[in-house]
Amino acid sequence: MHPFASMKPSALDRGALIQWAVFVFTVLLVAAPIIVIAVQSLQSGPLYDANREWTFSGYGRLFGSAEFRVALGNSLALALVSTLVATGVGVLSSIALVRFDLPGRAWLEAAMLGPIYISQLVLALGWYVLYGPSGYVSLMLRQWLGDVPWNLASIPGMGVLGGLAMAPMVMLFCTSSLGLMDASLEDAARSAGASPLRVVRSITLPLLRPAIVYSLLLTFVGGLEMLSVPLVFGWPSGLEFFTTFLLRETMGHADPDYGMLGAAALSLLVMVALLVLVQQRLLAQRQRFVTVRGKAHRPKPIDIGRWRWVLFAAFVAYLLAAVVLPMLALVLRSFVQYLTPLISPWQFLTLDHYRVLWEQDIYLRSIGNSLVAAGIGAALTTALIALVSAVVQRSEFRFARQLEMVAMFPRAVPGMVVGIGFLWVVLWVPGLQLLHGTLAIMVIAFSMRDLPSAYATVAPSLLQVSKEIDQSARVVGASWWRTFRSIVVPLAKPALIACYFVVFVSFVKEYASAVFLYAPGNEVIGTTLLSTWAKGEVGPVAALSAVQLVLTLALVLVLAWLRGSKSRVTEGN
Amino acid sequence: MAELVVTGLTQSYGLLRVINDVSFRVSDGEFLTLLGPSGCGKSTTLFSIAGLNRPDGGQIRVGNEVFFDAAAGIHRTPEERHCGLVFQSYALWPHMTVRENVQFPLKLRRVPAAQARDKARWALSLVDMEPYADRYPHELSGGQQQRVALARTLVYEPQVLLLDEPLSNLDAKLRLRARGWLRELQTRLRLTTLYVTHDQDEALALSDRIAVMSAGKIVQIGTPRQIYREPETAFIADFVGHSNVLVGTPQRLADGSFGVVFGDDQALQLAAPPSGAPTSAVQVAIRPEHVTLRPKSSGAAGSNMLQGRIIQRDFLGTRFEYLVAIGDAQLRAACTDEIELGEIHAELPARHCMPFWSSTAFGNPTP
Repeated sequence: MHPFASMKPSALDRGALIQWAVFVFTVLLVAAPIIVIAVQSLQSGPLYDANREWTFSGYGRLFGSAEFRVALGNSLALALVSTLVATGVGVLSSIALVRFDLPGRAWLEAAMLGPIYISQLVLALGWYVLYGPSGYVSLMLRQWLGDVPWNLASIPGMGVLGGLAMAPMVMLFCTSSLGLMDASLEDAARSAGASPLRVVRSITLPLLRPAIVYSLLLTFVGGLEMLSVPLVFGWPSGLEFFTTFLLRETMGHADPDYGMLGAAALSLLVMVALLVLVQQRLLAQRQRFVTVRGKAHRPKPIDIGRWRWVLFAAFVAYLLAAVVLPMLALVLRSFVQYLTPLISPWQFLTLDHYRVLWEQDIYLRSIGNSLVAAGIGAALTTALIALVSAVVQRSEFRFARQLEMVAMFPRAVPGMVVGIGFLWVVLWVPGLQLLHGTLAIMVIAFSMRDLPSAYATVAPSLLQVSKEIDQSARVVGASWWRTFRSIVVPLAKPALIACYFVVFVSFVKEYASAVFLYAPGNEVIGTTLLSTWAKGEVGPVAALSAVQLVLTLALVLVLAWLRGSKSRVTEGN
Repeated sequence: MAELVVTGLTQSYGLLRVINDVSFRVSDGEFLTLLGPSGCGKSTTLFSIAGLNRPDGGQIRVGNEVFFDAAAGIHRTPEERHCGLVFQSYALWPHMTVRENVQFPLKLRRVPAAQARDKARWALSLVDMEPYADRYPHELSGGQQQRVALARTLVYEPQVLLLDEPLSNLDAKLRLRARGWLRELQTRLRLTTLYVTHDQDEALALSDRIAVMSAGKIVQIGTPRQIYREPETAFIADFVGHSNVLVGTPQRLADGSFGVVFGDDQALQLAAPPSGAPTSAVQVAIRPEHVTLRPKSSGAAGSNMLQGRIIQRDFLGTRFEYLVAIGDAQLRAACTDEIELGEIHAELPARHCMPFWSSTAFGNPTP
C-alpha cells in the first residue's frame, strides 16, 4: 500500500463547485441590471404594476419625443468634438513624450496621465470655477477685453472640455502602443535621411493607426456616456444630452415613464456596446500592424534641438491651464468666501466651508460612506476578480472563455445604465427591496462597473506565472482550490494589492451610477457633490472636491510606491 | 512503486493525431525512456499519465489503479494519482523556500510536522541540497533548482516518477554529472521511471529500455543496445546514432548476393536483404564512424567501395568529420586520419550496412 495514499477524492468536486459558483455569480452580477432594463423597455408600465403589457411603445415614445431627439443630437455632436480633441491631444502628446528628448519626460508623462485618477466631475467643477461664465479667468478677461472669447456652455466648448477630460485615457493607450513599437523602424528612417518631423508623419503615425482608431472609438463612447461636463456646464444653460435626459426623466418626475426610460437606457447601452464591439475587433487586428517585440529596447529619444524647450513650455502651459490651475482654483475656492479677480482672495479667507463639511451630517456621512464602500467593495471586487482570473486562466472550466467575456462586458455599459439597472433590480426583484437605499447596493453596482479594470490589472500578471508552477502543485497532490490558495494567490499578491487600490480609487470618485442609487443615509462623495452643486452651494462643493482630491492623491501615491517596489516574488520568477 | 501500463492511448487535435495508439509497459523499478524529436507526442503522453492532459482514447494504469480509461469514462485528477513529475522548467514555487517547496506535498498529505521535517531532510540529502534548505529558488543555480525539483518529487514517494526533459536546461558538463546521479538514485530507490527526452545520449546512458516515438507513434521499443544496433527503420537509425541514409534500387548481384544500386550505377553488397515486405526501393543506413575513407591514389579497390569526393572537412578535436559527395547523395564519415579534399574511395562494410525497405523510391529517411 502506498504510504501516503489517504487523500480524499472529493477535492475535484469542490473545485468544480467553486468554479461554477464564480461563473454563476459573475453572470448574475453583470446580467441582472441589463436584463431588467431590457424587460422594462418592453413594458407598458412599471414592472411592479400587475396590469402592464408587453409592448414596443416605449421605443415609440422615446424616438417620437422631440426633446429626446435634440438630446441625442447634442450627445452625438458632443461625442464627436470631444473625440477629436481627446485623440488629437492624446496622440500628439504621447508621440512627443515617448519619442522626443524633452526635459523631464518622465515627470511630464506622469503629470499628463495623472487626471485619469481625478473624477471627471471634479475636473469639470475646477474648470467651471476658473473658466465658467462667472469663473475667475472669465471675469479677468471680461475686465481686460470687455468680453470672454469662449462660451463653454456651448456644444463646441463642452466638447473641448470633454476632450481634455479624456485625453489622458488616449495617452495611456498610445504610450503603451508606442512602447511596443520597434523603434529601429524609426531609426532606419532617420538613417535614410528623414527629419524627425518626417519620421513622425511617415513612420510613427501610420504605425500607430490602429491605436488611433481604437482611441477614437474609446473617446466617442466616453463622450456619449459623459455626465460630468453636460451636467456642470449644459444643465444651467438648458442644453440637454442623452445622459442628462435620462437623469431628468428618472429623477425629475414623480411618475416617470418607465417604458420610455428603459428604452432610452437600452438604446444607450446598445450604441455603446456596438462601438465597443468594433473596438475589440480592431484591437484583435492590432498585432498585424504594430511590430511587437518581446523586450523592446528602449530607444534613444530623438534629438529635436531647440524645439525641445518649445514643446516643454507647451506641455507646462497645457498642464497648468487644463489641470493644475483648475484644481488649485477649486482648492482655493474651498478656502474663500468669494473667488473673483476684483478683490484679493486673502480678504475672504475662511474655513467656513470645511466647518460646513464638519457640522452638517450629510458631508461627513458621504465621506465616511465613500471610504467604507471603497474599503469593503475593493476587497470584495479584488477577491472576486482573483477567482475569476484563476478560473479563466488556471482551470479546465468549460466556460472559461465566456467567463472572461462576461467580466469584461461592463466596459460597454455606461455608468448611468448600471445605476438605473440596479435601482430597478432592487425595486422589483422580490426580496431585494432590503437593499434599496443601502450602501450595499452601491458596492454591488460599483463592483460591477469595475470588473473590467480589476481584471485588466490582475490577469496580465497572472499570465506571467508559468502554468507549470501550478501544474506541479496539482501533481504533488494539491486540489484546484488548494492550488489557488497556496500557489496562485501568493504569487499574484502584488497584482491583487494593486487591484485593490485601483478599485478603491475608482470607488471614491464614482458618481454616474450612484446618482440613481442614493437615498438619505447612503450618500457617497459623488452624489453629495452633485446634490450640493444643484443647490448652488459652490463653497462646500469645492471643499468636498478638495477632500476627494487629497484622498485620491494619497491613494495614488501608495499605488505608485507599490508598483515601484518590486517584491521578492516577482523578482524570483 | 508499481508497474505503469499504457494501452492504446490516442489523442487528436482536429485531423492531427498527436498520440496515435501508444502502448507500453514500465515494469516495477524499470527506467523507460520515450525518445523522439520535438512534436512527436512524447511529452503529451507523459502529461496524460500525470493527469494534466486528457487523451481521447486508451487506458492508463499504475499497479491495480486505473488512472484513465476512455471507454469507462475514468479520468483521475492529477492530485489523485500520486505521480512524481519533474518539469523541464523545474516549476519550483518562487514564494516558498527550498524546504517549504519540499514539505508542501507532505502538508497536503497531512503528515505530522516533525515527520515531515525529517522526510524533507531525507529527500534533500538524497540530492545533496540539505545546506540550501532555507534559500529561495531564485537564489539557486539551474542545476540546484533541478535537484530541488527532484527532491520535492521524491519526498512523497510517488508511485511512478515522470521526468520531462529534466536535464535540457543545464549546460553540457552539468548535464553529464546530473545524468550520473539521476541514474544512481533511480537504481538505489528502485523507482518506476518514465523519462522523456530528445537527446539520444541521455536515453542510451540512462535507460533500461527505450521507446522511440515519431509522429505520435511508438516505432520501436528495446534496450539501448537493440535500439542502437538493430534499428527497425531508417528513421530510428538516423535519429539514434545519426546514420547516413542512402536510397537505391534492390538488385541481385553477380555472385547471387543481395545488393543495392544507386543513381550513379555504383552498387553496394549487403549481408542480407531487409526484413519485411519488399518494395521498389531500399534504404541503406550506415553510421559515420563505420565509413572508411581511402585516398584514390592508394588504389585499394576492395568490395563495397563507393567512389566519391570530399567536399567538406571539419576538425572536431578527437576526430575529423567529412562530407562526401557520392553521385547526388551525400555521406558523412568520421575518422581520426586527416585526408586531403578530393577524390576518394569510401568503404561501407556490409556488416555495418543496415538495409530497410523504403516506402517511397526517392523519399527522405523519415517514415
